Amino acid sequence: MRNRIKVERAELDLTQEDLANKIGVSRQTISSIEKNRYVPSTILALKLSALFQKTVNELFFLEESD
Amino acid sequence: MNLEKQSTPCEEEHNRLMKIINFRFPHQYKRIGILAALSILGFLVFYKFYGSNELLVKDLCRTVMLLLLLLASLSKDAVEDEYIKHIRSQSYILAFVGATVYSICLPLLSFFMDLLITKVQGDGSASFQEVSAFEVMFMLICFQLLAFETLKRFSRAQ
Repeated sequence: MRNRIKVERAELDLTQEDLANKIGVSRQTISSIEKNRYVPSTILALKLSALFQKTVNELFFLEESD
Repeated sequence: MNLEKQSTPCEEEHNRLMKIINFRFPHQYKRIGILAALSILGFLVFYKFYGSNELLVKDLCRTVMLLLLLLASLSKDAVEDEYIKHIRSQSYILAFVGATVYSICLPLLSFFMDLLITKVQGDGSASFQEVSAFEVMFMLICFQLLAFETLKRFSRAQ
């Protein structure tokens, strides 16, 4: 699964630390999501969706292998 | 009509189990557990060479050391979020596999070493030594703590 978190974060001019503080996780969590090393839970995906005001489908996409 | 959702006994049991699984001690207990366990380990080494050979003292120290390591293993991280929980569950899997492999390989290794040495010495005896329960538990918790810190370091290095 891929995501647009890094792009959305850059558009809002947020650092990983800022974003992490806003949704109550650690910076490592944001970093791991951005690098597609960790697939967040539905709760975290919905928090990101609310923060960026985008649907979950606009933030996360399935790949051929999924 | 009462529309409130009644939880079934199965759900209640599941909730109780989840409470046990998700239970964590506060973060500061991690440092306390590790430091106290290391102190006891130091004491055990000192006691082996300079103390009397009292088995009760050794057993008591080993049990307390395991409890302290368990305390460290079950303590929260500084920021306890879902990614940390994910890493922790991975570390338990790695520890379980590591400790199982250790408990299988060590007696085999010791047996083959015995065989090699006995062949050289020619006394004809080779023993198959079992790994003690303490040793397996100690390795299990140490593997878990190390795997957890290593996985966390990987995520920081990304």
